[in-house]
Amino acid sequence: MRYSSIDILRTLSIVIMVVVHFCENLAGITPKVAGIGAPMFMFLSGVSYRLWLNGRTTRQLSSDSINKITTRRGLFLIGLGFLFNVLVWMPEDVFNWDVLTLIGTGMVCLGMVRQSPPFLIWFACGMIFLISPVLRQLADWEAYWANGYFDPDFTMRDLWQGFLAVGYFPVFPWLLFPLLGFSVGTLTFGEKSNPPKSSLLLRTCGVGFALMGLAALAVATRYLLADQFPATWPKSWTMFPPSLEYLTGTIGWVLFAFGGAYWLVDLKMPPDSFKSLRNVTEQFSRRSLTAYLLHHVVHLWPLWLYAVWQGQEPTYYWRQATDLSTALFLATLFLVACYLFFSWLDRRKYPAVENLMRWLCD
Amino acid sequence: MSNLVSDLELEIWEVGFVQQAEAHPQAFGRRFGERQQHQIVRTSVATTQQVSRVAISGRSLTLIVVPDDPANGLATVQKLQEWLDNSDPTTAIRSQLLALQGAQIVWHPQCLVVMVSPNRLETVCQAVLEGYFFESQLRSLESTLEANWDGTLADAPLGFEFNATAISRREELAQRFRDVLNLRTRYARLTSFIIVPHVYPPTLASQIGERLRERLRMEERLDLVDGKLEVQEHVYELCSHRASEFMVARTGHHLEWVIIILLGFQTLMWIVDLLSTTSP
Repeated sequence: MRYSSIDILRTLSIVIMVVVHFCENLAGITPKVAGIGAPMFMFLSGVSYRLWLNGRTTRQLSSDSINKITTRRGLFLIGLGFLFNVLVWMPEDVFNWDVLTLIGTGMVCLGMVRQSPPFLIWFACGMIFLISPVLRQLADWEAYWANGYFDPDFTMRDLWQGFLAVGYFPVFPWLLFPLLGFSVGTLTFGEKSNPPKSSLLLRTCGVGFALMGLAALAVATRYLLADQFPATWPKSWTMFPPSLEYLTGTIGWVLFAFGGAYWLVDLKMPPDSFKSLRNVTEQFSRRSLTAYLLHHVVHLWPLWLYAVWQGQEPTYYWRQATDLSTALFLATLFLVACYLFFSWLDRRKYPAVENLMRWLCD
Repeated sequence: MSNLVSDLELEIWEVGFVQQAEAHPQAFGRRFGERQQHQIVRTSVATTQQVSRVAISGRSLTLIVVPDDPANGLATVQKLQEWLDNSDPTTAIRSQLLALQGAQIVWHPQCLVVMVSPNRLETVCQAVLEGYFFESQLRSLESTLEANWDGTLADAPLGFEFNATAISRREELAQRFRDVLNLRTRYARLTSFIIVPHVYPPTLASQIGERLRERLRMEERLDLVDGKLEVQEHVYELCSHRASEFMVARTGHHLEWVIIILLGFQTLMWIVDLLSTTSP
């Protein structure tokens, strides 16, 4: 069963991600919406895993088979993440620990904790939240990000530090989002995908709103009472590294958006309302992995190839290829073309990366 | 049968039972049962000469009083008994005829027929209705127990092993355990009205009660109910023990896991610290 609210939120994440990446990589400008797409994407991977698990349990799939499929899928995503880093970025960026490697790691971890009581997952999430700044401090995060991007050496130490604490999306704290998504999914749908109660969704929404308020208050306090805080304290709202204010705010955002969207779209609205919007979002949601890979390929490969053709370093035009409006126009053009491409794939029944994953792993 | 026309005028009572301390305005006869709290209530009275006009509502008990007429009365009672036996072809329940000291009584789960001289009518009706009341209580126990079997069989495996997937069923199990205890209480309270010593010197009312209990095999049925209740009680006792043990163990496991997670994070911090101090 498809949930339109999840499709809509995942599509929203994809749109934010495409716009942010086009603007950053082509124009060198980071839009204000940056930083809210990736947490939602990871959170929804946890929710979807719960729903997938419920489906498999209903079909009486053995626990052993579920473990195998989950691990294979996780390893597939990690492998795909490395391949993506080599082919789309540069071979020297193979260990930059991007979203795909994190979601793959998250999948393997979810397979391990799937039978744990929600209480322990909440506890682990809390510990991840608290320990991450400490780990960054211990690993000397600033030393790896001196140029504004993650720049490790090819050493075992940097590989592990990057994976655990200092990469683009290290396990600490980003693993928190798939775990949170899984436990919220369990709380919402149970272990048999039962329709959730309105009160539960509204409570989730309320908790999310409170957390967003708390984050806003923390950020406002830091700005309004700047003199009261030591100068050595980390910045207030940053995605790289993910500050506690940022984590609190984005956790609040994902809870608020998930609870609110489910309550509004799947519970309150009739199933046949906004049919075309539901179709578009379903298309993007079903092919979210393909969309993630494709949008990088279509805007980064031309940059690298054009620079090489011009006799420059491949990354010469990175962040300085176009102005903001052109980048935005290209992002919009990509989204439209992407939708048409996905519809064409559907009509022809051609496989995409998601089908490849299922074929290999299920 | 429906065309049978009797010369006698049948008196048809709609009868119910209430349990209350205050006297019911439509109460009939004397109070009975535990702490004398039950009353017989006659809700409506009608007369007819046609058996086919007798309607059994199914919600309350119908009592048909046939006038004491040796010539036509017995035939009418027999016809009524036949009519009752054929009234619902889907059930195998057959009526019982009791003839005692000139009184003719037909017992059927939904209808009673009484033919007795007017001076003994109230006594006989009181005795028959009391007997009917306790038998209906026993019948209700039996049917509830029978209806519980599927659930009991489904829950029986949890008496051996209780696991995480069964946690969501704890409330359901607790409810069934309460239901079985409730049945046991009802059984215990009913026993004293079914297993009663013979009254000496015997009266018509006491003899009717004894004969009804004997004919309807109430004591034997009570024994069967006891056996069935014992099995269901045993299953739910085991389930409650397993559930309780599991929940206690689970709390302990949670605490152990919390400690393991804390140790894991501590180890992780140590590893990251070690890595950061190691030269590349």
